[in-house]
Amino acid sequence: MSLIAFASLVLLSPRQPDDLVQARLIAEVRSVRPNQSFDVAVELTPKAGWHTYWENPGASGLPTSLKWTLPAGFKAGPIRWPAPRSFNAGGIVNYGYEGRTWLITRVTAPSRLPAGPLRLAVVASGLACDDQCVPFRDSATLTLASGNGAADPSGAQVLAQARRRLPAPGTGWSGTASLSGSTWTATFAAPARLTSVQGARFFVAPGNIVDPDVKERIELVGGRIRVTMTKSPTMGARPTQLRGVLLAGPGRSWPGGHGAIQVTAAVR
Amino acid sequence: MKHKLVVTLSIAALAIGAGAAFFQSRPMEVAGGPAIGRPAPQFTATDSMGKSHKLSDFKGKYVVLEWFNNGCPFVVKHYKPGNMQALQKEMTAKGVVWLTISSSAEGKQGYLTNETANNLRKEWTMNSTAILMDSAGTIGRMYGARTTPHMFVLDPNQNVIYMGAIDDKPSANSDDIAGARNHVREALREAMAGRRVSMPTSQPYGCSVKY
Repeated sequence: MSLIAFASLVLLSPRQPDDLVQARLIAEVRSVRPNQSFDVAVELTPKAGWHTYWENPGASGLPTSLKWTLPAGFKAGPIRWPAPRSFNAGGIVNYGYEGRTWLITRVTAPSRLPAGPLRLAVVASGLACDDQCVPFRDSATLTLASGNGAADPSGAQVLAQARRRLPAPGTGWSGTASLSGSTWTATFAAPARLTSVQGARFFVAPGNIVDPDVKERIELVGGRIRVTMTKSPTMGARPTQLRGVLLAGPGRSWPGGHGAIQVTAAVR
Repeated sequence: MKHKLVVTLSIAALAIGAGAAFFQSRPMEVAGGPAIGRPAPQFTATDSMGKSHKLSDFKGKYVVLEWFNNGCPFVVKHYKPGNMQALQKEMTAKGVVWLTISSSAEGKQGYLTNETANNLRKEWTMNSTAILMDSAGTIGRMYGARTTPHMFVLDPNQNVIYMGAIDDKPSANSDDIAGARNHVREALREAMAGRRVSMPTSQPYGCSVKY
């Protein structure tokens, strides 16, 4: 391709504005002791009206990814994703977060801490969209001291707030699922009696299993939650389970008071 | 779902109105959208030069459908380093018909007039057979196109043999192209060699189609 062609491509390429998505790193501790595990949150603040994506971005989009650079011997766990919401743009449905969100990661220190200050660095990258989509990338750092593992009060407060947005573990919940033709049916039993599933949603966490563009049907059948979904038209091998998040309807909650629950249905 | 149904019905009604026996005899195929090993939904469209094409005109040839939006970073990922153009050139040289489809609605990102489409073809040195103008989203909805890019490959009998992503590295970064498996190239190579397409579907990635 000629240089002229490249130039016009560059002009047509969306460029990331500096403030598209800003990342900040927050820890619940001020100092770290050997073998300590503690939570850190990557706070993502997109420009007003823009959204970022869940681990399953839905019919388009990209999940946010985190790349860590940690002191020697430190390990970062997987992202614990907040409960997402759905976005519908002209019939194309995505899962993600509008506005500020926190991606929590558990960090574990080694038995022997390296000398000097402990510098944690993260690069958050992904896709931010409003009507259009622009890739984002921002980095954040945080320096902790070696010490007694004391809490950082303001950091702990942010983490506590961030944890409230995580789906609660589905303790006492059970589920099964089956695929017939292009219809997925999942049935969930709650640990306590359910009286309503009005406004409830179920989002499957791995992508390409369920078609996000076809809204699932949720009913209460014999005291259990029955979710009817359409198979993704590009689904590959049949999964052995459907892992996902059950959201209670607006202003409602599941037994135990949680607005969102992590559930898994074994595929039969 | 409701919206999909309305579109489906109106397409079926249009097809029946136009006397297309295909839709009359097999209405379920329209309702279900494209499926691997099944006949591709038929359409008529006008390209950026004002020329009308019927999909059935291309019977006997492999056909690639590529959903396109020049403002989408995932599309730019594949055009900026010339990856998409190279694949278009490689495949059209082998007799493949490559239809680039623009389904962005007027006023939305990637909406093209004939003039902007033709300028873009030149500036981006695109090697596709034609750019089909689908700002009403009719073909896009018919195929369930959701991302740019979103790729479909049809065999010479016009059965769908691949649908999904362009490759296996869902990112907007051109550096990821090296080392990625290009599903369209592999599907065409396998089919042309008389083999079964080993990966007939994948999850498409990119921007949402701007209907």
